Amino acid sequence: MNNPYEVLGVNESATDEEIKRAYRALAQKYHPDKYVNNPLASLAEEKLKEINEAYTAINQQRKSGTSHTQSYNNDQTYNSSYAGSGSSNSSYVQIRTILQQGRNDEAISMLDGMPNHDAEWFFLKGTAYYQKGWFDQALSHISNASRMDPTNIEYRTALSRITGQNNSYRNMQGGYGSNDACRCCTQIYCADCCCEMMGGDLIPCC
Amino acid sequence: MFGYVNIVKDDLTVREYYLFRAYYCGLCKELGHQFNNRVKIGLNYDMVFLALLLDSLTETIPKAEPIFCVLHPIHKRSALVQSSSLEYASFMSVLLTKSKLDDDKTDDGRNLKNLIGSILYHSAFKKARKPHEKTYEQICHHLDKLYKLEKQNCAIFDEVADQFGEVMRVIFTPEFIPESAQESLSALAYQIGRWIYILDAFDDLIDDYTKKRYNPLILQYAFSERDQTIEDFSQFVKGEITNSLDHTLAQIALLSGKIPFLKNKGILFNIFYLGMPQKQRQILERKKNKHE
Repeated sequence: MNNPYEVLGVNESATDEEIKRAYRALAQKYHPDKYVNNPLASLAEEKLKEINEAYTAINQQRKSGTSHTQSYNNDQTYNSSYAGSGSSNSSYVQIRTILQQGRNDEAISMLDGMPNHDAEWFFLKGTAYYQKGWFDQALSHISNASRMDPTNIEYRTALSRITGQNNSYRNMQGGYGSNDACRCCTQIYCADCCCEMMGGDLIPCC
Repeated sequence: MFGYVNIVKDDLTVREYYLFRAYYCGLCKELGHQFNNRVKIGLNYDMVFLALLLDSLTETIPKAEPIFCVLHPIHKRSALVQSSSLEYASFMSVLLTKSKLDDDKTDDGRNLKNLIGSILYHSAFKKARKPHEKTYEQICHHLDKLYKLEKQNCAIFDEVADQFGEVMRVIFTPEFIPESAQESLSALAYQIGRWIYILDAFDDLIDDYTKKRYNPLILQYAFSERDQTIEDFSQFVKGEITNSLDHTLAQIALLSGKIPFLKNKGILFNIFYLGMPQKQRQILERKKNKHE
């Protein structure tokens, strides 16, 4: 492969932001939508592929070079799954790259074009739905994947993330104002309403 | 719009509550000022939330004025004035009500209610559309897609709710908000729209069934009369969608933390962390009273 920095037309010392900008501009330039009914379509597609590969390569280089601490934000969880042996199919690898860049609709349409639906297929589709915000579809697809291949740790982790994140939300709620305090307030308010009905007033301001 | 996005009054400070009310009265007044008194019937809490949220991204201190209002004839209430977000929200309120009226028309044929509605909104709509032509087109584009899915009896609620999320995305990202907030605000708006749509579908489940109207939840979970009553079915659906709704709320909470709000944080987080979950519980439990 060519030097990825050359492909994107940036300096090796460029910041992440500059690389992202260069990548976006190029990706837009060679986007397949712009080459409908154009004889150059296949050329543009090849170019786009090259750009994607270069961008992924730079990102991977930088991530492994700069920090070894794995933080669990979205970008990196999918990154880590690269090492997994499950992705023998080359188009699955490509779809993972696309998902990593957040191009969910593209990934979904690629998956829809595939004839065989194995566990990995369901997992990737579920992941795309998850990133899109379609949580119900995400849950059913990833549970499917997990059912078809119960030994796969990646699927199981993803599944428990979907069913488990709500707990963290409930905890956050607890930090803001616990349920009991809430109920207590409402009870006082109810008492106030009853009092007002009978002509008295427990809380004068409302 | 449905008025699902609201505060929990008991958990606000008194000052915050009055400020929220001033946004409400301010929007009402703005509707009268920009258009006419008739369009005030389209006022709801979702639109107040829009005004509040957008205003929270600007640094200007809102100006309040005491106003007289027929609904509260004894005391004057304070209302915010001269705010670009109030003006914007009033325009969006008219555009949305109008597109809802148009939808009802195609749904039930011409009936008296929406005939009156169309007449009431005619002139206001013409005025509201002009400066926001592009926005209105985008709203219609997604609503058309939504109605098409409904006509095709789409049985995946995520897919239908998606279009409503897109509508919210359009409305919540006007050009005047700072660019640094655009991306997270757009994502937040999408989740809110999705949440509203699913919750509304659940709220209308039984009603839609008796009136034989489209409802994505009835189709997705394939209700059959022989096996169970609609009430049991609704209980079942509640169990199925709770996880998805909770997840959406979690995303909303997460995204709201990324938006650089410059003021009104207390009210906004009250809405995200308490108001919306409370509304969800009320709808899912089918409780009509306000206080649990």
